[in-house]
Amino acid sequence: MATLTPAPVRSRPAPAAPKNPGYPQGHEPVHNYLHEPGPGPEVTGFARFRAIAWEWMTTVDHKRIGLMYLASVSLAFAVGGFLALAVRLELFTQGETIMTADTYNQVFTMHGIVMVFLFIVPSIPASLGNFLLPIMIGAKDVAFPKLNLASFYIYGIGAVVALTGLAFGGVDTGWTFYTPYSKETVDGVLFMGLGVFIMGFSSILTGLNFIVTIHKMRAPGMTWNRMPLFLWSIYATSIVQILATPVIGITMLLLFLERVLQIGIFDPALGGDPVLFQHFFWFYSHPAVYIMILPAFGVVSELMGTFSRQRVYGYRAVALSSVAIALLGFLVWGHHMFTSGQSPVSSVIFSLITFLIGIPSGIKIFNWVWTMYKGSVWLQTPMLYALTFLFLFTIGGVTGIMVGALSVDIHLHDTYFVVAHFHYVMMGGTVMAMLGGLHYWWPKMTGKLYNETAGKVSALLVFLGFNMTFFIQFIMGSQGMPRRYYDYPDMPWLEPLHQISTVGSWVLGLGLMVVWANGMWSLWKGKPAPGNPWGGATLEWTAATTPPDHHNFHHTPLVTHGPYDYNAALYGASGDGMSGDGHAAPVPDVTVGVAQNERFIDDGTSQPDSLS
Amino acid sequence: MANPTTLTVDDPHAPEAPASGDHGHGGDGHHGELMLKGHDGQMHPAHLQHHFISAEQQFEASKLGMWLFLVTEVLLFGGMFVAYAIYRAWYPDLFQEASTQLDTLLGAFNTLVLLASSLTVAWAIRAAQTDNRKLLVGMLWLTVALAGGFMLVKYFEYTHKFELGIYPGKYFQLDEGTPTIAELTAGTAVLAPAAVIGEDGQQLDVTEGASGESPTGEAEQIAPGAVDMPEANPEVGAERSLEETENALAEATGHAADGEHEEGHGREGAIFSNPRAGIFFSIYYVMTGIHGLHIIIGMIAMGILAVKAQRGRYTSVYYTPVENVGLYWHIVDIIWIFLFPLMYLI
Ligand code: HEM
Ligand SMILES: [Cu+2]
Repeated sequence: MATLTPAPVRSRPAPAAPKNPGYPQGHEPVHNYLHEPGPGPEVTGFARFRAIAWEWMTTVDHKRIGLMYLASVSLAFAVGGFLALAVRLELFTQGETIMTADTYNQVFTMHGIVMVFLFIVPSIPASLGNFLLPIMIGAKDVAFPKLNLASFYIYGIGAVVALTGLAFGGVDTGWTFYTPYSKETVDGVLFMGLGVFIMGFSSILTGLNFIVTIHKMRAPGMTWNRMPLFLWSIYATSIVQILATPVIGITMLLLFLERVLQIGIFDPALGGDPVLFQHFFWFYSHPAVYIMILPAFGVVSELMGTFSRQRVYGYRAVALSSVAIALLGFLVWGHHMFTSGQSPVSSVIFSLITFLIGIPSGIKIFNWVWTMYKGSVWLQTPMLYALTFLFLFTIGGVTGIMVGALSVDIHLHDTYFVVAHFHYVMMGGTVMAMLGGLHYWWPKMTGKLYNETAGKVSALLVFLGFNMTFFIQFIMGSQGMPRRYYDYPDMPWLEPLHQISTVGSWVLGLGLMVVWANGMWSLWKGKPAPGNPWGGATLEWTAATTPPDHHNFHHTPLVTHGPYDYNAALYGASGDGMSGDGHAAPVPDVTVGVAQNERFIDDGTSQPDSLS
Repeated sequence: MANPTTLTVDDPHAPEAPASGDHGHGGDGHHGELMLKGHDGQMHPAHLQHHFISAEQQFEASKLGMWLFLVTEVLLFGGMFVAYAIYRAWYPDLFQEASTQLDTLLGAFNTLVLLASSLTVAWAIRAAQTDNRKLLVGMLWLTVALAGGFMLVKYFEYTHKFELGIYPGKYFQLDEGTPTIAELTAGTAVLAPAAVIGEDGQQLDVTEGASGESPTGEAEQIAPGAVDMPEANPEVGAERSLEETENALAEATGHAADGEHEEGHGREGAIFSNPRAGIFFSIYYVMTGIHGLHIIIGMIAMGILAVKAQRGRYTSVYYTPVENVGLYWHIVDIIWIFLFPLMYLI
């Protein structure tokens, strides 16, 4: 049996100069995926810039592709965010404030389309997922690296096609493209629909790549039950991407043909049925909300474990509830159509199944809370975002059950209550988790530390701003403020509430600006990151250098324990590294990643002769 | 017992590493194939991509990827099959009548052609497994030829339909004087006044409404602005539904859905005075069109394979692309196996 005691907590002096003799040849800190392979030193000036740019554009390295996705979805988030601020500003006063009613329709539609299809669907899986998945399972890359790059370009082409629609009258249908209106309105719909269709392929191919990678590429010893929960959630997400996305594809194609060839499938004037469009649309788009939220669950599981210094409670329950949510998510789409003329029987059944989804979601929430219980909770920025997630997503989830209740939804459908609900889930859930994950993995991805104080300030601003913006919308909605309305002439008492919401959106925007500035500052002036600043126990922290090598690992790791054995993770803390005091962050230990690779310990279960 | 550290195994490309068991795909490993020296200094087969541990892993990954892709294809067509099922349930007679416009003989012929091509592609895979390059190339080209035959027949079918004015949706050319649904909805016209004679010799007027009992509930009473489907207006009391009208109409013109008339030779059949005829042909054109697109993609893929096979790219050690394209081809065939009876026969 194992004879080894956990590695002692060591205190070390500040990091040595980059040429640390502990690194094997070719794996010194300057040799990492950000610089490798790189043009030779003889290439200089513009030629050098061109060579590097070309290298990035044609890379098949999952880490670089992940970063390129990160940049793209961040841009999309910024664009969508500005549109959101414009929408909020318009509602600041009654009557016309900054734009006409027509423009308003276009702006909230673009906000929705950009946020859903350009930002949130690819957000966590394509950026963090791409970066982390192969490293977390101990592989060199995803199963199909070229396909991975192709997915990125397909996403780009889809985005460009969609935005071309702006030159053709834009879109004013809302992101849902409901027929028959979408058949009659401006031609921008053609491009947006086609763009969504194209981006769908990107999503499908990413999901396909991830499933195959998880099934076939795990390092020796990386059993399903040792897989980090982030990967379980990515796996569940990928299932949904593969099973749901083709349906939005065919729906958009039919809408396209409907407009071009007048095929009439969704047009009552030709014998078709517009409600069929809604069925098709939500058969994708309800599961798609799980494409949006499941990866967030995974990120939060990682954060809860690492920052509570405790094994994630109920590992299997958390892992399998992701899969359960993914599958149940296919059976509830009708809850979007309670008022669309769906048969009462179906409505009742859909309402019932919707309640069931609360069970796996609740399992997760309780397990996360239990993970913190009696742990040593370390309130660094990532954990602050994780806690924000927990708070906001719980509200989003509970109000989701409310609008899932047939009788209640008849009253609340298409009001601001629903707007508040889905923002609590998408923004309060997914975006918070993504921000937490970004802070958590930022040192790994960039090799730089961000400013902890600025991080905490941003978390506070975002939390306050978010609740100010959206909590009040529950109240407005229950008082009858309709969704997608430009004005509220009969409800003057809503004006102050709208103003609170709008001011909240500024606070929220400010918080996000702080996040952005912190990131830029970190790239420019940030301190070099230690190998494992948080004492994480998953492979990206314990077996890869920071930032990772071009090929992730010098040796394929042999995994001998689960993802949350924190006492197993080498951890160079000095003093009370867990006090939450920004200055007491663990002393950087640049050799950690390598030291791991060089240690070969016989725990009695592996054959020594198979080790190098 | 937690082990406090992460152990490592040798570089995966080293043959003796425990994870790279040498039961590589194709049997005994990499004999007869070009071996290259990788950056790890080890020899491995030329086709093995560097991020895979073994040829077997690479083969299994590709194959799983292909199967998942096929799942998405099934779902893509699944959406259209659902649309078919719904409109068929709503307008059963319309579908029956419309399907007689399709040429069963040509359809059956094409079915056989595709079945044969499934055989040839399977044969091609077998040829790759047995290192029979000539047979492999031959079978691939034969598959392309069969697929081309299929498309040729489809081309004649389509053009013939177009000649008869059988277009999808709104552009379907109804017989002179047939009112559109819009006109019926607005109440400005009644269905084929001269032709529609009930058994009792009375003229039928759809605007009179419907019996509310029939499965085509929403269709019967086409009230202005009624976009809400089925249960929207159940209580309209009247004697005849549009569907019954259609039946009567079919009988009146002697073309009830008994398939008596010769198929596809002219504009014959009650379908040409059925204002909803376009919906069947929309589904027909969209489904067979997208299916045809898949055939064309398959032909291109198979052509590329054939050229590469000619150059000796595939052997019994490595023939993953042949196998994967073969899988794709089978699914395209299977979809047709469903399309044919649904469209042509029933
Ligand atoms: C900066 C924070 C945000 C603010 C202030 C904001 C504000 C708004 C507002 C005012 C609307 C229009 C509501 C209506 O009249 O129906 C809206 C709609 C919407 N938002 Fe946001 N939003 C924000 C972030 C997000 C995020 C992060 C997402 C998703 C990732 C998102 C997704 C949507 C969607 C899907 C709609 C519906 C659009 C439609 O009705 O077609 N929003 N948002
Ligand atoms: Cu839903």
